[in-house]
Amino acid sequence: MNDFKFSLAFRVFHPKASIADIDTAVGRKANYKQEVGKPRKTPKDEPLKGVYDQTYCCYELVEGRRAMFEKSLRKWTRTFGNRKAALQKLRRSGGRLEYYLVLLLEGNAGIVFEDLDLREMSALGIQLALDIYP
Amino acid sequence: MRGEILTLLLLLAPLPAGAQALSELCGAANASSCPGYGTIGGGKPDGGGYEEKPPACDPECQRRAAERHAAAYKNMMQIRPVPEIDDVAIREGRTVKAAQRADYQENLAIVAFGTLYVGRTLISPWWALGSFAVVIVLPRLHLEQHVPVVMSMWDSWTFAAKKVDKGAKPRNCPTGTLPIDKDERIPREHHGKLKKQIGAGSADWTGITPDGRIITNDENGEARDNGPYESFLP
Repeated sequence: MNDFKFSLAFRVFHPKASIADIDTAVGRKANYKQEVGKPRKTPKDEPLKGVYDQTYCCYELVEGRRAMFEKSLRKWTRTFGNRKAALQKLRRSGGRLEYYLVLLLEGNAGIVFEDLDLREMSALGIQLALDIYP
Repeated sequence: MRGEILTLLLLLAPLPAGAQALSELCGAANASSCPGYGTIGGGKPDGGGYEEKPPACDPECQRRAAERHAAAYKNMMQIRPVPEIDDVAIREGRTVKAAQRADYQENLAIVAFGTLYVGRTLISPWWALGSFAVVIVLPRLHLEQHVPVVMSMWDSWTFAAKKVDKGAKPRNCPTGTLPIDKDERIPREHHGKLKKQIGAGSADWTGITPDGRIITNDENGEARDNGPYESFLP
């Protein structure tokens, strides 16, 4: 089976929470962030037209290769399991939580998401978004 | 007559779950807006109650304040009176495009509309029906000048209610705009990172214009400029 590169991020979208609220709930500082109602801008602070219509926080978790993928996903799901109450509060107030998994393939490759991992993610209300580059 | 009956029926509708006071939604935005802006409407800093005269502050400041209000109103779908706070309530979920425009007068008109008229006449799990009711009632109250606003909101609501396919190419992309994976300026390794930086979904269409601007869909399926691609590279 071919190897692949991956990067796993945790993302939160919320209609009204502040970045600080989300950082507190997640227990980390967001790598990329946008706050509802604030003027839009590029990562290099160039102004863009309009304002953000929701708060968005993206937390880079891990980058690596196939061999470490399953272990990483399990580790982070358990870590977020310790913050279940805070994350569920975000969900109940209209937020959306997701793992954003970027896969850079080098040929045919396969991943198995084990039922236990999927169950734990589901219990936390985390959806899985795949961004695949063949 | 049917309009008045409908309005009366709508007035009896219960406050929907998730309804929020306008003051909750706009409070933070007003507090941080320009001097003078938060004092319109008899000095109420909470965004409820505005007079139709623009505040005295510089145009750039007004523009920023209007944009904050536009964001606050973006999710407006339902408007109804909340007697305790003499305000209007907003429920998230649908978009009123007219309220999103960063045009000061237009936003102000909607604020005035919401406070003076919608708050008294229109309640609606069925915004569309309510809009018709107001259109019928307003001319009798000699408020014809607000009818275009109502119609604009109605048009916008019906438009916004259509589901936008964010995986499709936006309607008004500049000629020559390509998906990022069909353009060589951004290395493949950076595509995912770029989408993370702009907050695009994994299935959202993301493109690049011939002059290097990154484009995604906005909530209406039109092109949203996210800035030059160089901004997203290390």
